[in-house]
Amino acid sequence: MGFLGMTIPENFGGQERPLIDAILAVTTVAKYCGVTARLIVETNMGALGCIMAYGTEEQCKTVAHRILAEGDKPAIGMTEPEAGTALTDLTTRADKRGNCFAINGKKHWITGGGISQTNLIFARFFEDGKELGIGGILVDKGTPGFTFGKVEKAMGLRGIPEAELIFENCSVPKENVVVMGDGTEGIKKLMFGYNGQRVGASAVALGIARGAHDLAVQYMQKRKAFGKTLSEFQGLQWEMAQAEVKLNCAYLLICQAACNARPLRNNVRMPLMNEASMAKAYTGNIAIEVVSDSLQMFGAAGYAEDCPLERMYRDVRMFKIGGGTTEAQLNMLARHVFNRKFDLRK
Amino acid sequence: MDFTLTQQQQQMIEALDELGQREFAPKAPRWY
Repeated sequence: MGFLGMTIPENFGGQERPLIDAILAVTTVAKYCGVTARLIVETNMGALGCIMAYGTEEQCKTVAHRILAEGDKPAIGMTEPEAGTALTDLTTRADKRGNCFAINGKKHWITGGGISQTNLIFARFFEDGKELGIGGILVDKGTPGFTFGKVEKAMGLRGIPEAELIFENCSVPKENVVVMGDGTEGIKKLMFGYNGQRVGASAVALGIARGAHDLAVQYMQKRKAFGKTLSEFQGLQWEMAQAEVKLNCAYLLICQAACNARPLRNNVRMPLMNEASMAKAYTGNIAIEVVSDSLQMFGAAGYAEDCPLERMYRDVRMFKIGGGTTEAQLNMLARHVFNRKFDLRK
Repeated sequence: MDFTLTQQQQQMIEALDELGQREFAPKAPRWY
């Protein structure tokens, strides 16, 4: 139906649809399946956004072709066993050796790890033993020295793997560099490019919660207790009405972030950090509350695998963690609120 | 900011909703 890579620019064969269109598609699909919605996110935001905004013409062409013609879902390799929210603790390194970079290190909890052909890897760049800073480099599946380790047995969203990526003297050409390590500039660019992914993740969470809420509303109009339908109990009406308010607040925050996104190269639109963080911090929390309250309307039936609410409750828990924890979003928002940077290491 | 959906956006959402309800509706609604 053309939702994978729908934001890819026309000159690379895509539809060049605005970010908000992709967000609306993600939210709607997530009502029924969070994993499918995540595929739309991964092919329109995340690694793709960074590549389109900062990559070379050749990289853009190759990745666009892979998504549009081959169904690839680019992975973005940031997290490491000792570098989660504290991402700048990452130790994966890319050492310049002639016309190549030798990559060594390990990533984990990488969405799509093992199935993605395209992998944008965050690493510390070195040249002649001197550190240049954190940057991003593309590593294709199948490159010698690039293997996959443990696949996590995740609580939810089980239709897409969360895997370890292992790099052992993995040599990739210098043409694969998307963002070169350059003091703190490289990581700043990459993190700005990640704002789209944050809004995308928020849209998945919102969609799951909206789907749960819709199912509960339907059920409450049929299920009877004490001789009347659940929808006739005022206490329960208020719970669902309150959930409706939360869902709409989240929707507006997400729309604000998507509609205010700033155009970069290739007409790629990147949300502002504070708007993306606000959307994610709020939606991550309320989506869990709304799914939990919706499940409650089903009583024990909602706790059984027969009922989609059980899956939704497990799936939605991820979005307070993945794509940047709620706490990390609030840290970034605090910078905006106080208009200063807080050094978390001191 | 105007968040009114365009006709194209509205049609996209309706098409996805229709597909979702058809493909992901619980097959054995014991809980219904």
